[in-house]
Amino acid sequence: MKRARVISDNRSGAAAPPASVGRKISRLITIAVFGALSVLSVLICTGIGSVKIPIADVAKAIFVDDGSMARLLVWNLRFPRVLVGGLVGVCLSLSGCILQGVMRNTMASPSTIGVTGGASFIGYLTLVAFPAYSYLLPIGSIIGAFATTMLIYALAYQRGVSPVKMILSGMAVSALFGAFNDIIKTFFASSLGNASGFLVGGLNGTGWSSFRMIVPYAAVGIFICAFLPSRMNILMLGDETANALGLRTEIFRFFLIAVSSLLAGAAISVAGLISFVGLVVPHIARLLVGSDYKYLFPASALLGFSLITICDTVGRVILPPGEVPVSIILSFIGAPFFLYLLRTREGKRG
Amino acid sequence: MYFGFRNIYASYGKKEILRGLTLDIPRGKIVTLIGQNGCGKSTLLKTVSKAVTPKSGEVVYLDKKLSSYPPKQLAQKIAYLSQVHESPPDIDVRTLVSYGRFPYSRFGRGLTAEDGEIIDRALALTGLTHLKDRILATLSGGERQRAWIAMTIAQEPEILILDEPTTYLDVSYQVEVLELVRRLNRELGITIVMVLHDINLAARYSDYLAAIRGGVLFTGGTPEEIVTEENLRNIFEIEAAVYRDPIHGCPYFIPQRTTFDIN
Repeated sequence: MKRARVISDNRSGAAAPPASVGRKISRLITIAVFGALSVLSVLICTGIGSVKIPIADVAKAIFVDDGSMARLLVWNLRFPRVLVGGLVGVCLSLSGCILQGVMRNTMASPSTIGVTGGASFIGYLTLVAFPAYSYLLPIGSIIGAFATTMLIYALAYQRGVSPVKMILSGMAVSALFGAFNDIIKTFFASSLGNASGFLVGGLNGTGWSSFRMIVPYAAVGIFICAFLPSRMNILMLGDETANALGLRTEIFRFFLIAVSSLLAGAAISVAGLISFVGLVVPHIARLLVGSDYKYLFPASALLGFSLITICDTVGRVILPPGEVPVSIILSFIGAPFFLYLLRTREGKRG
Repeated sequence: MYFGFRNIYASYGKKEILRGLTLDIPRGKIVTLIGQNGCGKSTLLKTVSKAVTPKSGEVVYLDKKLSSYPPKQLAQKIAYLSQVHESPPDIDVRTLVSYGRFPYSRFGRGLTAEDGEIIDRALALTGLTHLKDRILATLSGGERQRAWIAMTIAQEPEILILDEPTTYLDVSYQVEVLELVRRLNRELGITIVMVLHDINLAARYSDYLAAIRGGVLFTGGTPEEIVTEENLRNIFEIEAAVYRDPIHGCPYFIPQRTTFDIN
C-alpha cells in the first residue's frame, strides 16, 4: 500500500479532496486492515494444530461452553496461548515504537538495545530469590527493563542516540546479562521450574495463568499509550523545539522510558527473549501509515498482535510432533530485516 | 523590563561563552544580534530555549524570571525557532504548523475548530495556503523556513526568537524570510529577536542591532549608530567603507580588507 504523495493545488478551488485527507483515509484503512488481520489470525491460528478446527467452530468454541472436545481444546489450550502471544506482540511493538521515539533512532527496540537481556536477568533473580512467588516475575522484568534502558540511554544519548553507539552498547549489555543468565540457569536450575515460556523464549505452555499474570501491566501500558501521541509528535521535533513549545522533554523522556519498560517487561516475563518484534513491527507500520504517532501506535499494536500469533502458530506446526519456539521463527524473519535496515538509510537518526 | 537578559554567565564545558551579558529588548521592535562566530549570540538565545542553562543571571519576561512561568504558558507568549530543524521525513506542512498549537492543548483533547482557524491564518500569513498539504521535505529552502515560522505564528506569540533564520538559505530565500519576519513585526506587532550573520541584511531589516563581543554586549543601537567604520573594525576586525542606501536610508558596507595581516 503506497501512501499518496499527491500534490494538490487548492487555489483552483477544485472539489477534489486535499492530499492530506487522502493520506488520512489511507492510514485509517491500513489500521482497519491490521485490525481485521488480528481478528482473523486469532480465529485461524486457534483452529490450526494437530486437531484442525474450522473457523466457525473456533468462534463457537470461544463463546459457547458446550463441553465439546473442540471447546476444551480451544478454551483451555489454544485460545489463551493465542491471546498471550498477541498481547506480547502488542507490548513489544508499542515498547519499540516508544523507544525509537525516545532514542530518536529507528534502530532502537527492546532487543537491539539489550533491554530484553536486562529484564530477563532481573526476572531470573526474582525467580531465584522468591521461587514460590512467580507472579513477581513481571515486576522483576519491568525493573530490569527500566534499569537497562536508563543505562543505555545514559551511555549513548547525546541529542539523540547514535545508532552505532546504541547498538554496540546494547550488544555489550546483552552479552553481559546473557552470561549472568547462564550462570543462574546452571546453578539454580531447580528454582526456575515454574516459568517455562520465560526460560525458553516462547509461548509453549502459556495459558490463562500467564495471561492473568501480565494483563494488568499490559493494560496499563497500552492505556497510557493512548495519551502519548501528541506529545510524542512534539518530541520528534527535537529537544530544543519541543522545549520551546512547552513540553518538559526531560521529564517526558523519563516517563516514556518507564512506560516502554512496563510494556517490554510484561512481555518478557511470559515469553522470554523474543527478538526483533519491537524493531520490525514499528518499521513496517511506519512505512505504511507514516510517522505520526496517532496512527503509528494503533498500527504497530495490531500488526504486533498478528505477527506473533501467526509466527507462533507456524512454530507449532512446522516440525511435528515437536514445536519450534516463536522466538526462533521471529529471528529467522527479524535478523535479515535488521541487516537490511543497517544497509539502508533507515538506520540514520529518525 | 519587558523582555531581556540580565547579567548572564554561561559556558560550554570549561569554555566561558557569556560573561555577564545584559540586553534589554523593547516591545514591538526587531532586534538583531550580530557578532563574530563564538561571540555568544546563539548561546544567548539558547538560554531562552533551555538548551543552555546560565550559570548565573536570568532571562526576564515581564519583570519575572523565565523559569518562574509554566512551560506551556510561556510558549504561548514566547516562540523560539532553532537554527537546525528536525522533523519526521513524511510530515506535511499543515501538520507541522498545527504543532504550534501544542502550548494550548489540554490533556486528552484534540485540536479545536478555533485551533484550525488559527493554523489556517498562520498558513495564509506566511503564504503557504496552497502548499499546506505538501510534504515539508519537498519544499524549497525558503518555503520550508516559512513553514517553521508559520508553526511559531500558530503559537500566537508576543515575542518571536529566531536563531540564524537565514543560514543555509540562498540569498533570495534569505530576503524572502526577512521580508516575512518584518511583516509579522509590522502587522501583528510581534517583537522579534534574531541572530543574523549578514550585517547588511541585519541593518536593512532591524530596528536595533546589538553587537556582541567576548560574551558581553559590546554596543547596541539603531543600524545607523552601529554600522560604522569604527565598529566594524572593533567587532568584526575588518576595514570597510560604509555607505547609505538611498531607498531605505539604511547603512551598508563594502569590506576592504581584514585589520589583521593574514600572512
